[in-house]
Amino acid sequence: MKMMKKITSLLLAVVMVFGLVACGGEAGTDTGTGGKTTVQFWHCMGSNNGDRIQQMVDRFNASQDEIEVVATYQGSYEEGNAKLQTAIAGGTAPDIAQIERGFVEPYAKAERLEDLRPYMEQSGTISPDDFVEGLMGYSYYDGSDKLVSIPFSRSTPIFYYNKDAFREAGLDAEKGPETWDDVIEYAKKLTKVENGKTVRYGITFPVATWYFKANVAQLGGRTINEDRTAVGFYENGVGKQVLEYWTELRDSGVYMVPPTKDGPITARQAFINGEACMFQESTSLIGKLSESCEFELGAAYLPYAPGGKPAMPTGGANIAMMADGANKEAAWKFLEWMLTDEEGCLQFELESGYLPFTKQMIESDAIQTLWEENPMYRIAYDQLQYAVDTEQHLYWAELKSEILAAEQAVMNDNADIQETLDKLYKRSQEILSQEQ
Amino acid sequence: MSKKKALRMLKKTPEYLIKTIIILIFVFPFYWMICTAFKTYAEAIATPPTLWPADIVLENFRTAWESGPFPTYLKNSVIVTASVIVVQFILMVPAAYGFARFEFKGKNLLFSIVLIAFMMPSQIVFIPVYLMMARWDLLGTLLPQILPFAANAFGIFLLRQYFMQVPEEIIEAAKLDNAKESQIMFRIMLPMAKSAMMTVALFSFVSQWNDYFWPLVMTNDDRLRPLTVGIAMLKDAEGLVNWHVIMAGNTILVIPIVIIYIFASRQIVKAFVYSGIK
Repeated sequence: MKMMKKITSLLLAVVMVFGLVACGGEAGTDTGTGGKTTVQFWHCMGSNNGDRIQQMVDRFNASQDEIEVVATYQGSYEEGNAKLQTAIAGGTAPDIAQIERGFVEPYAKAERLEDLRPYMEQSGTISPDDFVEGLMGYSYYDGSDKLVSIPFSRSTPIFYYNKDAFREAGLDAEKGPETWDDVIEYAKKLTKVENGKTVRYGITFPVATWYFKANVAQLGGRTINEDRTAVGFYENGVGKQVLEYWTELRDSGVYMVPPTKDGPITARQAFINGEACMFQESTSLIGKLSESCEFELGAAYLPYAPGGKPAMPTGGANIAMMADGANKEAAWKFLEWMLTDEEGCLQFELESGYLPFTKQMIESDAIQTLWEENPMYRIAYDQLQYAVDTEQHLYWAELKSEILAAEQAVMNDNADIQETLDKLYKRSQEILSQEQ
Repeated sequence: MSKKKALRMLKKTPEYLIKTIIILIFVFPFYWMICTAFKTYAEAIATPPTLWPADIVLENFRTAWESGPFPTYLKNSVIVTASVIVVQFILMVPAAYGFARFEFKGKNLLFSIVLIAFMMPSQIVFIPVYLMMARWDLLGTLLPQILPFAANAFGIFLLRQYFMQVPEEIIEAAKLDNAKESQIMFRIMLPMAKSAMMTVALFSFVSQWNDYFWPLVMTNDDRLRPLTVGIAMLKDAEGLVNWHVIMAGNTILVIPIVIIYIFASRQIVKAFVYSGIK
């Protein structure tokens, strides 16, 4: 008992001392060091890409002595989004934030994002026309009046394939499948069954909204219809066609359907391990797949529907200047540097494998060399001419989870396609009508 | 005699079998975490997975530790967790004692408020609490991670049950000896509730130590963040996941919990037996 008491009082003392130090000493995140203006930059990238952002910020801080940018990780895209909203309400918003593209719209509508047009006009170093058009689907608000966010870590889905397996199956390894029919045909040839067990699948890709949106767009459908009242793939029967294509792949035993939990990781691993020979995923994986795959890797545009046209959505996150930020002039200086300096975004895109997004970046020697060394990056960029984004809406995040649930119901739980889409259509009307 | 014994052993077999299975179910994820922490990347993602690392790699722990200001994270985790436990005890013991031994107006109402607080998930209150902390200018400190947890509703509830079980005779006897209320509380009640307090302390420790969402929301600065947030940063938003490094980070995070649990486990089981929860 005496022992207990001693430990308790010791603990108490330690806590109080530390508590006081912690409470007093480390306060004051807003004051800059040595009279510099501090710019808070919130991002959502952990691991290697988080390091790359930090290195970029370090390069900027070293390049001048007026502004100190502080980059802070704020959790995943969803967590970062929740944090940013809370911080705006609490009056502690950063100056610049990385925002997942689908979350941009609500901030724009609430007028929490700074219009970058005046800054660009004033500086004259970069103009809105310099950006790659296919990646600007989430950048404008109010028609094209306001430029509220710019691309940063952006990607699109692309079609990867295992060239060695193609050769083994007698397929042309220099060309990926062009249409859905080709995909089914190739997948059947690539699938290997031993003793009634499939040891190699023709294709895999996560059951995700991204690939669904791509296939819908290829048939001329939209994720959200023009009137913004419901999904744009129901009345025209496009959604049904897409899910029928997916279930056909599944039911002929050539598509390894990833589980609902950690599906993307499972699919990726199956492709790397050679257990599935074709794979739809983000262009941001080109570098990592090139390193990890022990077979010869090929990449192609996403195959499109017979009678349709090539099309795919874009993904990733943008950056925006917050209207609530304290140091907008300094924040713009940092943005301008990122956009125009070779050591800014250009280097980040080169290291991370995300898409270059200004004409200056495309024309740079660094990008041209990269394209020569690894033509897959070129394919990823060229495919952008077919980019279509049709889900900019205040309630997109909510609708997205419903679409995903419908896809999973059909693909993982064998639900009836028509019934599922009927329900989804009604639900989408309810969700989208919440916007006034 | 030996036949009887054998029969009894036979009867016990299913019990042991079920227990073994349950233990395996609980232990395997931990084993898998530690095992993966020592693997190379190639082995961590290999199919079929290996049950034992081919080469023991210690490098993962260093990679995890050096990926951010981990000494700061560790310091914050320790300060926050220890402070929360201490503050909780200062408030919890008198509260539970009051609820257990006194009759006063509004007692039931107050106690139901405590129970409601017990049921309130943090996701509901984080925005108002954040706004409060912002207004009080506390976001640059560790207090937003400590103050909201100062009152432990579960602890008050558990300790109250415990205090109520102390026989009236003992307290009467103490009163005859002219003991003050504070003496009864600290000299008689507390020692008898030792195992309950250990239980509450351990639960508080685990929930504070493992909390991720709350510190993430309440801090805008790496200097104020705990280990959990640092470990979440090991994960890439998109792209390939370095499982071996993440598992090394998780192992670092979990070790203190396991050590403390080993020391406290007997007391905890005892607490549940007494309080009638088991």
